[in-house]
Amino acid sequence: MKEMLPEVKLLPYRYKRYGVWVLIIGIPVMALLSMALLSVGLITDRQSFFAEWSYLMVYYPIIIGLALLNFSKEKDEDEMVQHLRYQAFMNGVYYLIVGILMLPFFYNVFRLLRGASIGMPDIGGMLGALALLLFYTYLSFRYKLHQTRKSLAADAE
Amino acid sequence: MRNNIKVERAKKDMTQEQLAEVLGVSRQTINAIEKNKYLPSTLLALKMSDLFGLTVNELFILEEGD
Repeated sequence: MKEMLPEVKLLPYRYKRYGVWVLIIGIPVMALLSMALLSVGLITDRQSFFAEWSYLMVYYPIIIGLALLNFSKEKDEDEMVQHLRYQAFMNGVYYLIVGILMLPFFYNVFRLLRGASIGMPDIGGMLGALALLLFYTYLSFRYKLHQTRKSLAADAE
Repeated sequence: MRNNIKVERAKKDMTQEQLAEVLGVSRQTINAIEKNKYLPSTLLALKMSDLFGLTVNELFILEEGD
């Protein structure tokens, strides 16, 4: 069967350690890099840089570190570990959907308790990322299902 | 579903660790299978039945409601 979507292979176990290091030293390294860029004059508007880019400085190392932890093998990798990992990914996505969809609700409960009017939190980026994740996942699943059925139909003929 | 892996392992005087090593899985996986916390793949079930000289049906037994 011709595969257009290559299978995602897990990284070796040692990448877990790299993931932990990225989590520990990533944020200070990104902060130092920003300072260096500021000092050589590549970042001219200091205030807007830290207001706009400070999130990237924090989230890049966190996402890369956690991705390395998630996409690397366990020390004793076998079929049960793989099964548990798939389940964990399913749970992660499910609770992410629930969490993000509930966010405006909790946000407004706090606002109402403070006596403020109802508003919408700034979660457009989160909703976009979530929609893309679900879109890619579903598209990949339908494609794999289609390829498998096509291959089985060809074998049956 | 229940299984006779613990009994068969005892007959062969094997520890979970030894069985795991022969089958190329972790001891935790063998423990989970024996306690019915994890259902092994067909491949692993066949490897086990081959090792114990039994059929898969003799090693893994369907129960009411399965």
